[in-house]
Amino acid sequence: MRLTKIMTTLLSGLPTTLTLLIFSFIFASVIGVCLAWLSLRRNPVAKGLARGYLGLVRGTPPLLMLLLAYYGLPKLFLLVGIDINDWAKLLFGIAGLSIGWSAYLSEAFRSAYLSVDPGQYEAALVVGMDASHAFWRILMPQTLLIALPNVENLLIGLVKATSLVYVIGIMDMYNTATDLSNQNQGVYQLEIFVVLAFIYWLVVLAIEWGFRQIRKDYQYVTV
Amino acid sequence: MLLELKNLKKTFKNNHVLKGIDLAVKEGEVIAIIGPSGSGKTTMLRNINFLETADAGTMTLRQKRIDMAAPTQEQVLWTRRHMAMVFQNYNLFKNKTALENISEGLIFGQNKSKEEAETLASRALDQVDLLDKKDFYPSQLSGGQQQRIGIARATVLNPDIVLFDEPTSALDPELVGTVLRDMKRLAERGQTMIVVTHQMAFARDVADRVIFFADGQIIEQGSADDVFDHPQHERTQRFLSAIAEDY
Amino acid sequence: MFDSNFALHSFPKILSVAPTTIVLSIIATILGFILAVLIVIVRERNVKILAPIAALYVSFIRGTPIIVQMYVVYYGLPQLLVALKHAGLDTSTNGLPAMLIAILAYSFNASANISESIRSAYHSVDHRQYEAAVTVGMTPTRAMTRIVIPQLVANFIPNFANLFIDLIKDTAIVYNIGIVEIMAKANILSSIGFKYLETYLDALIIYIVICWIFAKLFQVGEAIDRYHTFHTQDSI
Ligand SMILES: Nc1ncnc2c1ncn2[C@@H]1O[C@H](COP(=O)(O)OP(=O)(O)OP(=O)(O)O)[C@@H](O)[C@H]1O
Ligand SMILES: [Mg+2]
Repeated sequence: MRLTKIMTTLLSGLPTTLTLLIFSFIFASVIGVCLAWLSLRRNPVAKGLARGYLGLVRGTPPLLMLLLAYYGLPKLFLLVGIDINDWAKLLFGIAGLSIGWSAYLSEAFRSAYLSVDPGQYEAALVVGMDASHAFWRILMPQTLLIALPNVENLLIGLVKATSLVYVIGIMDMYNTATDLSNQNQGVYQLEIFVVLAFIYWLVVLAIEWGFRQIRKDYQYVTV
Repeated sequence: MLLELKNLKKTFKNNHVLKGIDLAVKEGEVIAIIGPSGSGKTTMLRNINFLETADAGTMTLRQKRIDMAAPTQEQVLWTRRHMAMVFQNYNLFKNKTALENISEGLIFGQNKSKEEAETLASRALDQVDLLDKKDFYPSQLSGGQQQRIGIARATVLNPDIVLFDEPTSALDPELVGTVLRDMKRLAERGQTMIVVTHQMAFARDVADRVIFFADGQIIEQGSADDVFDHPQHERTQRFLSAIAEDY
Repeated sequence: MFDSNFALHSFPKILSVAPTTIVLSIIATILGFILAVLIVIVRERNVKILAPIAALYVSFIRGTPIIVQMYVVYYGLPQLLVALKHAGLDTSTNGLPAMLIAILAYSFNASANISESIRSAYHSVDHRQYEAAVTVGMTPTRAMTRIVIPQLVANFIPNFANLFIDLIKDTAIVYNIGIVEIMAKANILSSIGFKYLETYLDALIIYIVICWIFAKLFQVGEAIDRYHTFHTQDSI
């Protein structure tokens, strides 16, 4: 009985956790692709910009990134006359996580792109494809496949990082758990956090299962 | 003349790899190029289809003159759509099946419909006796099978010229024969081909002309019998006696 | 809007607790490493019963947020000690220092990640290297210590560096159980001055510099190790 109550309470925070996860992952991927593109330019300014961003984000704890997004972004936007103070906290949470993960994803994409066999591109040109077809039909799919294991790890890392949005007051699954444990004035606290751990674990196992299916679909594509 | 190269030059840093090549190829001709490692054979083929850009030289393909040092984007595409290439390490698209490898160029290089491309691709696969492998990915095929698909991928485009860069040298010895057989069939159908190869028997059997290439230059050329049995140049003689020990 | 004076004054105060962050990270990594080696041995040797348990343990740790793990230890350890006391063991149950809890939680966390990293470094050593060593007459143990492990270490260092730096960043939540490290100090100063961005930027700079220094140290270490293992000279 007690366990079901804990479970249902915690699961009520799951949608927020998943929302954070999905949107952060999408935004981070988009920014990550742009960053990877920048860092692969010959232009030293573009390269430097991407490297610098990466260097900064790499040394920043995700928790701090969230706080900086929450307190810093409104001030930054005020400088150009836009008031985003009233944005929902969720948006700041997504922003903070996206900024952090975009750097890691860009590294995954960049290194995957560089490890595609250059002969593949040449073969595409030689059969008469133009550069953009060669990119979209041959290079891009192979880059994604090479990046897949890293992307999987990053996505799992992101699941865990969503728990940090408590610092800006978002009621995700983790925050729901601390709330519940405070309400109970210190009883069942261990149970609450153990159940919470198992729910996160299940989410991660589901992601791992999904990636295994993708890998199975492409098992013969050895890039 | 189908293809004419004049004064093709290419330098990497201070390394003069191609020192002014002149070459004319007739329609239907099969040319075998032999020569020591590092002499610039691959570089020449890559310059002909603009995978690399030459420092100097002109190319005339089907009456069209192209400045090889400064080709326009259209000229590059046009040339590639009139030529095809078979690579030493096959370079089949790893994310495409055998059939898709062949149809890809038809669809995205020659703007054929998907259905037409697949019909042509199936026929090309059949010609190299691999139609039953049409849904296999490269990783599921032997080197010999991959290379025969590489040949089908090149010839299905109906190119004026097919360039071969040591198409059998990455293969296990027992697989070499099947690939050479497909190449011979192609030659018999009148396909113009430039073949860089170490397969002397193939050169003797199939080539109309053998070119000995060294130090970025054409040292000697002629019929297979002339070059192999009566080499004029000391360089050629040395090369032939050196490889004779290997075979 | 941005009080740079406050930021400037807070900086040395926050910096003064940086050693706590670093010490916690280093101790947890060392303990985690020892545990990781045991896990790797158990899993690679496929020890009965223990191997699947180790696999499950690693999967669980890698599938849960560190902050949740920390609270499981925080609430779980005292209960464990109480249980042990009932079982007759002489354990003290009150006043467990927060640092001990953090070290335990982060060691468990590190052990799972490090064990995976060691395993992948081990698998990336060419198996023929071992066979070749045995063929020339080395004993299996000697082949492992002389041939396989040095190559494994070279493969492992870059990953290990990343894990260590991730751990440093992960410690930014231990203020929750009352440890005064970089984040805690920043929070304390913020709440006194009601200024947040300033102290967080200070913390940011400190974290970035710490991570950068350790990244460089590991790069130097890797270069030295590679030189000794392969006698090649990669530039640092
Ligand atoms: N991209 C490049 N950059 C610099 N040097 C190159 C490049 N490609 C080729 N070379 C140099 O050009 C010379 C000729 O190389 P090439 O590959 O054309 O020789 P090859 O005749 O095909 O030899 P092989 O029989 O070994 O294939 C070599 O000295 C090589 O080092
Ligand atoms: Mg070559």
